[in-house]
Amino acid sequence: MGTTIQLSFQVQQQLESEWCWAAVSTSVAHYYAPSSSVTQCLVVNQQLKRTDCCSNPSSNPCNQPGYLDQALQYVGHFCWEKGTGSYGDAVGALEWGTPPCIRIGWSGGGGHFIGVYGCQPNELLLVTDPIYGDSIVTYQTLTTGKYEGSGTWTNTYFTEASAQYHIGNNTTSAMPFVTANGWVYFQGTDNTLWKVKTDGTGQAKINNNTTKSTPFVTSDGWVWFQGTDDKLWKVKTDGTQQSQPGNNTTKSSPTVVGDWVYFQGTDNALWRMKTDGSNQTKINNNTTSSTPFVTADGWVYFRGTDNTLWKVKTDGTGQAKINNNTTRSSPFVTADGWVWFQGTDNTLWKVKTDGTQQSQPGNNTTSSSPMVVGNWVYFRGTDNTLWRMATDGTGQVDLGGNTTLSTPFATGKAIYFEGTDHTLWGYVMSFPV
Amino acid sequence: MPLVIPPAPAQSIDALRAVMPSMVRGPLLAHVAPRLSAAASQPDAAASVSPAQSYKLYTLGLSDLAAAATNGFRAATLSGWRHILVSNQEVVSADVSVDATGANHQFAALRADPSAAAVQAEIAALAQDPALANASYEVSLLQIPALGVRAIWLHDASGHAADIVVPVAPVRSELVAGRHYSAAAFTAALADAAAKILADDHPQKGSG
Repeated sequence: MGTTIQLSFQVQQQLESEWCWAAVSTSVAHYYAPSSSVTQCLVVNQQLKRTDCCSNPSSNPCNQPGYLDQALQYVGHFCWEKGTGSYGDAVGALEWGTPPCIRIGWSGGGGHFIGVYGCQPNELLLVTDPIYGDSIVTYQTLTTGKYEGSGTWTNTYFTEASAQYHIGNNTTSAMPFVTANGWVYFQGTDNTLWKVKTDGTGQAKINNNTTKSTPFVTSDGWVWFQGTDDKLWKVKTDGTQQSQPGNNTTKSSPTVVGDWVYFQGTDNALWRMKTDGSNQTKINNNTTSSTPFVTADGWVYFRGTDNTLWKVKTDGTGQAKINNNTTRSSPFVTADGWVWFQGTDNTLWKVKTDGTQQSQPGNNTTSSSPMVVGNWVYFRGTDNTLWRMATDGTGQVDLGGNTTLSTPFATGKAIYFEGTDHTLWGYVMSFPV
Repeated sequence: MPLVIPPAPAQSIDALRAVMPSMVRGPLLAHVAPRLSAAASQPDAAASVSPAQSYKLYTLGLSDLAAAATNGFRAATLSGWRHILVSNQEVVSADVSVDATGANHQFAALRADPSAAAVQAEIAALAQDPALANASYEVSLLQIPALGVRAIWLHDASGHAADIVVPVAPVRSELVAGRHYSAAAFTAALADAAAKILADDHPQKGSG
């Protein structure tokens, strides 16, 4: 690879003989937030559950080896971890301005953490070491047991800026809906529809209405929502043209795909109608207890009132159970054919849309529908914190130490959610996930 | 007898010279060693990079440290050669690794190394030490990377004199920079630190 990058990242000298993990995590914190007050001994105090490591750092209980992933989580900049990384992994992280860190395993035992902050053609890397300082090393040196004569790259720790912030000044009582052009739509605690830019600006009420659900916003600028009268409503994102298409009553947030609106009726049946209110029809003969999930290839996935997963074609044909399971939430279906859902055991499950390969990836408990973006699943844990894990169940991590009351709305770069304080929050990930 | 510093193999220096042209084409060398970068950027200069001094670089793992108390440093592995490059008072160390056959040399790392000057100064002092005059010591560098220890290792291949190890600053609190240690005293000083790490070794932990 021919990329040349040099970031302004440098690892502090470790202050005690066993504190490489504290030095690296502290340095990462100062890289992302130069005014950070984090110090090595504060990290050690928190990680070792002590209070005396700033006053007596060289004592045996304080001068201990540690885990970099946990220390990075504490300082708020852990993204994810893998084993030995490729040269491309390092370059990719550097291109995003997110210096990766590395664990070196020494021949004969022991480990050490260093950072990477530059690269140059011919697989040259610029590393920063809390003992040995800065050096230019070859990728091969790191991966063939030659770093400082006997060290091998064993683990990779990707970092991120992890900026968590309030979005505007508001209160909400549902999961928000975020559009590609950077607007957040949400139900206020006053039960009216609101919108605000993801940077917190431009907050405004959308017309005069009352709602009781997460809205659904289409790419052509319509906001669909369940009114407090249990009717389906739509309004343009600028607040104009508010109307009540069709003649229906609904129990859920609507889902709009193309020129059709899908919803759970108050009779618990699946319904659809054209976005102009015409052609309202039941989809087959079923009962549902969730918002339907409709895919681009014409299938509706839903939780039946029997708490199992079902699917049916949008034209009402092909209705079938999906394997043998029980669920508590709306399903989330990915473009590559996986149905993700919260089991009645409060763990995350996935199953192929044809019912095969049902499994329970990772080790977690959840209290919401999951949301899948790329190779990552986002969900609210039963501890009310936001979690993310890879779709194969690896890399599970608590995002930013926050608490939420809703399913997170994830985009490729950020997550938006209702905090337990009933305000809107954003959590920006700087690493490409 | 003077201290013996064996000359570096030509292949080791060639491996260092081979990487210099690509090194000077990017910004990393100028960041780490600006004077060397400037000197090596002159036409044909990279190809003529000449170490001021070169040493054998040995490494010792924690698992072999205890045995060194009685057996000396036989378990230490020759990981390569450390070349010292001096450009307008800037001292840089460049490591070239060598495989177990001793035939294949590859550039490994380059750094602006404050300890390199300390090593040179210590070797110069050792060369004047009358207490060492009656033996023929070969000079090498010995590293215990897991403990962050660097030392000058004096070894008498004839076996007439015992090994001497001289830690180079910065040193751990268990050692004194510049003090002459026997193999037994050196390993004894580090025994507790090594045991502490090995007792709690974990594939995701790190220390020094």
